[in-house]
Amino acid sequence: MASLAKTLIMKAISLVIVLIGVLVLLAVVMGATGLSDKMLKSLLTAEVQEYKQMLIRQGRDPAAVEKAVQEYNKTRAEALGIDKPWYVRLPQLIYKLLVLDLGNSRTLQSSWGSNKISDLILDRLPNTIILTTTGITFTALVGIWIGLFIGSNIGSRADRVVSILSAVSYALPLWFMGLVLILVLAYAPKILWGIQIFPPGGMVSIPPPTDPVAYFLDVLWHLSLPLLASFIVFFGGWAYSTRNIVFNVSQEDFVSFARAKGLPEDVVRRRYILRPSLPPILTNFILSLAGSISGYIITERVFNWPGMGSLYYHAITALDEPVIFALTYIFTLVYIVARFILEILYVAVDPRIRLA
Amino acid sequence: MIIKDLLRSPAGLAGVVILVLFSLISLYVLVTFPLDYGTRYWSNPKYWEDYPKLVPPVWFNYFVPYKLPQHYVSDLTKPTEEAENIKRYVFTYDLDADKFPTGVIFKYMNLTFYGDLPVISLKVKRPDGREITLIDFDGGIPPPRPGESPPYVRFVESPRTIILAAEPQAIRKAAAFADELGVACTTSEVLQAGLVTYIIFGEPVSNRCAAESFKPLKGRYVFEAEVVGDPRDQIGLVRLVVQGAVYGAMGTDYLGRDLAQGLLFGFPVALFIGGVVALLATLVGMALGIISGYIGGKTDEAIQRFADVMNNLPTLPLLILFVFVLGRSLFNIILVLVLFGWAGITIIVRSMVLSVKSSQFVEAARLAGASSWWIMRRHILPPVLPYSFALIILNIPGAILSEASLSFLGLGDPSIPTWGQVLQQAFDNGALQNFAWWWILPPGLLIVLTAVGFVLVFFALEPLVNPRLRRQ
Repeated sequence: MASLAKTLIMKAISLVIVLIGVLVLLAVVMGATGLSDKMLKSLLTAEVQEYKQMLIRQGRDPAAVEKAVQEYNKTRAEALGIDKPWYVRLPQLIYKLLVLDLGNSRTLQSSWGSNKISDLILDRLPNTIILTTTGITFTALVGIWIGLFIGSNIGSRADRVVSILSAVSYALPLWFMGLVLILVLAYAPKILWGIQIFPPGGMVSIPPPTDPVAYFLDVLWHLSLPLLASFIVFFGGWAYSTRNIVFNVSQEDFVSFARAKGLPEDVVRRRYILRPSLPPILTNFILSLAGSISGYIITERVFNWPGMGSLYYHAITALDEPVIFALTYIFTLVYIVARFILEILYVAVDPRIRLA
Repeated sequence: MIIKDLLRSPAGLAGVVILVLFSLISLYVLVTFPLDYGTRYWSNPKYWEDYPKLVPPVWFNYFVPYKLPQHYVSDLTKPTEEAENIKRYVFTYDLDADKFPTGVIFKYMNLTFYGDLPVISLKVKRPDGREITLIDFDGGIPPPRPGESPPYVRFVESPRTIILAAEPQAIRKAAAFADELGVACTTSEVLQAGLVTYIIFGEPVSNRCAAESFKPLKGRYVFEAEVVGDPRDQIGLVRLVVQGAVYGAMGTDYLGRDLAQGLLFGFPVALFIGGVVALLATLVGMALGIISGYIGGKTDEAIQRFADVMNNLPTLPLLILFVFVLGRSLFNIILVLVLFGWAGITIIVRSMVLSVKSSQFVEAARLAGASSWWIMRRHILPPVLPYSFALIILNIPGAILSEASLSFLGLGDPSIPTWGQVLQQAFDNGALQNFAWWWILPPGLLIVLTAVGFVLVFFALEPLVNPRLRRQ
């Protein structure tokens, strides 16, 4: 048990180091590019403006107002640290990112019209999670199932097909597959024959159905093309890596020994090959879930899926720097947190690590 | 020996064929295209104004029941024939389609004349032997201003453009020619129904004055532009445009750009970005891996922790951030890709170095008093080198795909056309909605094909250079 705790603590420490590294990196970039200055200045101008309006409304005489405003400007500037160079403000910047005080976007708004970046992200993150988890899970389950099957039929025709498909997974970008599917399955039937088989993008129809069941089915309908795209692209990779794991296990001595003992082939397969293959397969699954959050950035744009990836693109086109920084940080944060949770799961599943 | 083994496996052979082909295309492009092609032509909409917008490639005609007319743009800078005071410019257009071209445009630039206004005319000889004079003289040349002395130069900034379907002279002549063909048309009918091209390129099937009364007359049309005036008179450029519905080997995009050219220019760019990034990332990764593995101790720990951190970051968001902050230039894209690309290589190379390090020849060298630098260079590097070469090959497609992803998000270098940027422009400008498959599929397939080529070569190369796999 002590070694288990030690392993987990080591993992946690190294992930925290990664996180701090990213934070420092982001803060330095924000400072060195003058972005942090710009953001503070706009904040200061807004505050001072508000203060001035308040004084004017109180009916003070203009000269006194001007003086008071200048005084206020100076004290606020000092409080915000705008008079100091950016590297002195670095700890403050890092702290702000760490507590998710992400500030306001310049132009982008959440669906309920808020300019706060944390609202923007809260608005989009669930949609991204819907897309990525379903995409990965569906593909992985089918891929693993096929991989388990061909792992014990090495050299068959199915095996060769899967080997080729796995090369395709590496070379075919998911977002391009998405483009092709939208072109061929959504627009081609609509333009050539006038029927809409698949939606060309989005997450729900406009206007969205009010009935919850209809709403759910509508989201499923919109999910179908992204799911198909990730299936085509990632299926081969899943099947191939699963096949390799199963194949390696079946070469082990204990498997030959089980066969030599005269155990029925069925029992050998279930107990001696599949059981030890599961932990590494699970790791694959877990790691790709953690990585998938950022893996769909461009695909979301292609499918016009209202998630974090689309937000990224809108932030780039609108030159909304605060949003870009916040998103980069959140992507890293989600990735690292997911990694850690999944490491714990992994340790719990694999006795060889737990007891080592 | 390795090359022979590589070519023996079908995957390796296929990969090598793709890569050699793509390299040859890149060389051809480097020789024939100017280096500033992107800024001078590709991103200059004015250059493409006479090209058709969003039309499929010429070979699309093989797949449709009726043939579409080809778009024709031709420039002449010198007269085809010259006799005393007559200069003649001849254009030939082959009509082999079941639909009519949508228009004919006649343009010229940089007219220089000395005395009277030159008489510029345009006529066309049809495949049935008939001849139509479309323009007797061009009345749109500004005469000499008072006080201006010869030579008079006209149409320098913008060309003289005559759109035949809107030119009163051409409409009158076309109406008269329609009468000759047996279709009674008034000039206003020709103007309103836009019949000029139907009359020029058609033969009558009925005598009613309508577009349906004509069917295309296939064959060779010879357009002749004549300049009659002082023998010294000159025209810098004469252009004839027959507006068709298919163009070139790859079609055109929404600005009328010839996609074949953009895609061709993408070959050297993709190979350059992929090659440079993979080479630099592998060099950095290999150097750090060797140092880390051979020296060990604190150095090893530091390098490995750092590589671990870099390897565990979600790359794409950071790539986006950095290119966005640093600016969208080719140099920055390469820099950022190298920055986030070396860590995995360091980890692999280090593990290989560890196994080499414990071998007897290294120990012997150390006992003989060789310096660490010498041992790393002479004994550690050579066994690591072949696999590092394979890693370069493996990292090239990754870099090409990353660049395409950045470009697709609008973060590509705007002065250089790349496949990713062609895709991004297609996506942003309604290629999907217009079912412009020729604008979406080829750039993506080229990206995939390049990546597949490198991956196949890597798959075939790996067992040959990986000592662990070779032993098995």
